[in-house]
Amino acid sequence: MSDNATAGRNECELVLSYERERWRASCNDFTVTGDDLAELESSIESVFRSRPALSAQLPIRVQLRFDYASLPRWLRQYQAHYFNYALNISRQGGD
Amino acid sequence: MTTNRRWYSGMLSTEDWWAVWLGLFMFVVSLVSIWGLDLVGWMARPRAWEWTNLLSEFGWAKIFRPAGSAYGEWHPLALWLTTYVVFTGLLSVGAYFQGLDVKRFVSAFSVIFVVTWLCWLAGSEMHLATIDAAVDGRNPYLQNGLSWGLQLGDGSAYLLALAAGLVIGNFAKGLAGYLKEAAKPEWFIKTAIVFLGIKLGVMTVDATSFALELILTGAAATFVAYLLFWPIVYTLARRMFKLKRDASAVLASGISICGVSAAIATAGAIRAKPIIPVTVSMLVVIFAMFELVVLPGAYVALAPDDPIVNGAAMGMTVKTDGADAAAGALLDELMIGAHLQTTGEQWEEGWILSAALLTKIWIDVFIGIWAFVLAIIWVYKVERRAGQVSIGPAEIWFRFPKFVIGYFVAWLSYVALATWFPGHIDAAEVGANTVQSPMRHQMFMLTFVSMGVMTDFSKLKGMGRLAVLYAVALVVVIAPIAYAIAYLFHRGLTPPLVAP
Repeated sequence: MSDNATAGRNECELVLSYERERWRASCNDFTVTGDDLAELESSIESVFRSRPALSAQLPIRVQLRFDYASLPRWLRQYQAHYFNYALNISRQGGD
Repeated sequence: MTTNRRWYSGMLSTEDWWAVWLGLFMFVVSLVSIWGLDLVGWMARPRAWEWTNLLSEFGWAKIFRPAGSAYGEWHPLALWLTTYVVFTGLLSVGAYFQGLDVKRFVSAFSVIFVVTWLCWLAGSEMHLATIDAAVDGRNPYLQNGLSWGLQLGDGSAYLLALAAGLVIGNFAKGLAGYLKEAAKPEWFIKTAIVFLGIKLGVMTVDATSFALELILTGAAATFVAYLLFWPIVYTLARRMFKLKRDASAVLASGISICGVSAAIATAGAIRAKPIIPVTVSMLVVIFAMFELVVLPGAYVALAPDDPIVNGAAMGMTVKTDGADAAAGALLDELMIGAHLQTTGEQWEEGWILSAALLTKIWIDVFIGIWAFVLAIIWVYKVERRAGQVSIGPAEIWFRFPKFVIGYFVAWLSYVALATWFPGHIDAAEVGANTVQSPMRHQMFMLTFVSMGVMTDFSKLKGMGRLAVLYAVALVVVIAPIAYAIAYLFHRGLTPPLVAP
């Protein structure tokens, strides 16, 4: 996890992929899955709130970056990017 | 793991960037001719040959010649082998950095290279290619005593390459599977497009206002594609075919913007499950092949006197850069040949292709912005999650087609050279002509073969509703409106004539 004190919000990165019809987000500390992105994001938020070391980082901007290598190889010559986006998790009780 | 984090992500690992590196490398090497040294003239190119003449006394010099006169003493086979070694070497470097299996790439590319050259040589046989018309007082058709001919011009080689690829892709699937490691039509065509930037530079110097008009009206086509085609196809998908919002958006982009790259960009923008762009992309690739096979001949037959209209319409109708450029190249050759046959006038090569390409390039350039706009709309209006989810503007850069940078750098560099150092332009043309002509043609030929290898028509089975929607949108919406818009902007325009 990297500390980014800009605007009082920390940042971290999770690598996103889609395997066996489930979304998957992972980093060195944990891996979560979900049927859809809403479920995945909910799982990510639960992990951050349930672990003291992670909840101390809140509020946090979680950068989700899709691992393009998980798409069929033949597609990459057409477009070498799927998506990145940020999930903002606030400190519980309002931020 | 492959994620994009920084603006330079992918610079050494994507086909897009490797088209820029290879294209500009060859361009820079060619410019050494300014100092009197031709470093690219070793490129082999086919000669026009006649089969009874070849059989009566075989000679390699009858079918190969060097691109540069400085290599006139080289044995023709040495030229061809040098061409093979240089291109295999350069592409293998790119393959290595892209994480491909280099050994497999070299072996598969060697097969594709040989197939390509066999088609190029066969397509140069006079009974297939030579046009019955006098140019500068010479009629090679009559001079060589031809009693019959298909008169397809250089289009014959392209058609043979396409046919060879399709035969492999549909009837020799084991071989096609093996060749896929090196069948990279988008990489080959994007490299060819960077080479074409030099051609555009030459054309701009020779006919500035015409070139600029093509560039600007190509930009106008962008608005048509994004603001007219997309909403119509999206509405058709939602209302008539009852597709979900995400599938409709991805399909609308794939059908109406720039094919596979737009489908993936849109799916990414709305964060759709990958199965959607994968399915749509398969459909786009197959339909692009239908368009490539049908449209050039159809346009020549229906509108033989509107070359630039046909080229621009092609750019708005044919999806994927590879298919559009390939179709544009085929159209260019077929229209020039047909016009020469009927009028004795020879249009300059490359303008019709440029009309097709410039339209497509402008559409490509804006895909990142379009995807960004869609992403914002999806977050704010569809998912209503503003504040929880944010999309960074870097997404525009990550989706930007990088090969376009190479195209414009080559073009603008050549124009700058002609403007600021006009005394050197003749010397520069010695090398530049090799890159923008036989090298470009070779990359186009490789593209045709590779596209055919990658196209398996049997994949249409089971696509059902999606395939029908695609066909309806293409035939009823895209093709007619594209032609009408192209006609509005380009009617009456014809390429300059070849100088006597």
